[in-house]
Amino acid sequence: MWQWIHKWGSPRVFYRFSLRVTPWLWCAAALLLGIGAVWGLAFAPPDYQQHDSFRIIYVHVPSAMLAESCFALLAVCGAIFLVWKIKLADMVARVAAPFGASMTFGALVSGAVWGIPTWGTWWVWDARLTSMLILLFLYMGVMALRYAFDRPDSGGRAAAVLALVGVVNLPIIKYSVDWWNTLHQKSSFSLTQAPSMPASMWVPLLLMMLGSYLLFAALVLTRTRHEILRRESRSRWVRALIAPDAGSSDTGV
Amino acid sequence: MVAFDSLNAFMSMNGYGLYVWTAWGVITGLCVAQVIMARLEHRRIVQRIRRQIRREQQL
Repeated sequence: MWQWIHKWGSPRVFYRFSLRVTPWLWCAAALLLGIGAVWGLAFAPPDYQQHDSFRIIYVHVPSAMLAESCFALLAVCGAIFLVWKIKLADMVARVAAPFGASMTFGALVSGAVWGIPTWGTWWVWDARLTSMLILLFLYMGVMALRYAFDRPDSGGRAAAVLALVGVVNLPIIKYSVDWWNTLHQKSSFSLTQAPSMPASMWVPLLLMMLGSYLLFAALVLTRTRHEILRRESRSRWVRALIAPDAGSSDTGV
Repeated sequence: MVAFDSLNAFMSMNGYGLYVWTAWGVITGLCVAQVIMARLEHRRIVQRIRRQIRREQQL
């Protein structure tokens, strides 16, 4: 077990692994999102109540799910970094945060735009909307804390603590539609029940959700690689990777 | 089966075009921006390390 953690916590091993899998992830993400987008926009039947405005669901739900999953990832990475001091976890947390923040923003904007034709208003202080807004502020706090310290490690630890504290917001977001009965509709999609929509409606949603998770994975793995290069820029293997001929020079470095 | 009668109906989303395209546009734009920024980041980091190596070799 310890050997396993040590091996995968090694930036060099992770770099090689990431380099091998990301091309496949990018391709699979593009494929799923492409099919899901065309299907959702042009082929899925219109909703009987919301007509064609319901097509916002195909970007709104995936972005909201990513916003929450990404924050959970920040918390898990934060815990790993705080307890075992594995730097790789901190790198993943650093590169994942901006994407999670932008997806939270995207979910809020697409929800607001969806609210105009559906609820007649772009914003209400509904529990789901408010808890998502808090999530956006938490992301901003996590990102700001990282740069509020002179030593990068202290910033990383502070960001990790806020991510761990902020994770209590996730169940609040999830159950907000059940606990407070306000405007936002309840979840129409769950792992345990058969969907109430026809397959021609939920299959593209499933494709968009899977595709966006793959995009998230590809982006985080790619940017973690960049972060490894940045932090290990003085190590010999990074030097050899970037300038293979420089190592054989007679300067002795 | 295509859900729209004409290309015009698709573009206007039968009257919901403004909302649907805005939502899709914002989120697609955010994702594309993240990917472009990641590519620029790679170039920036590699250039910096190259400069570093050159500087050290000149010493």
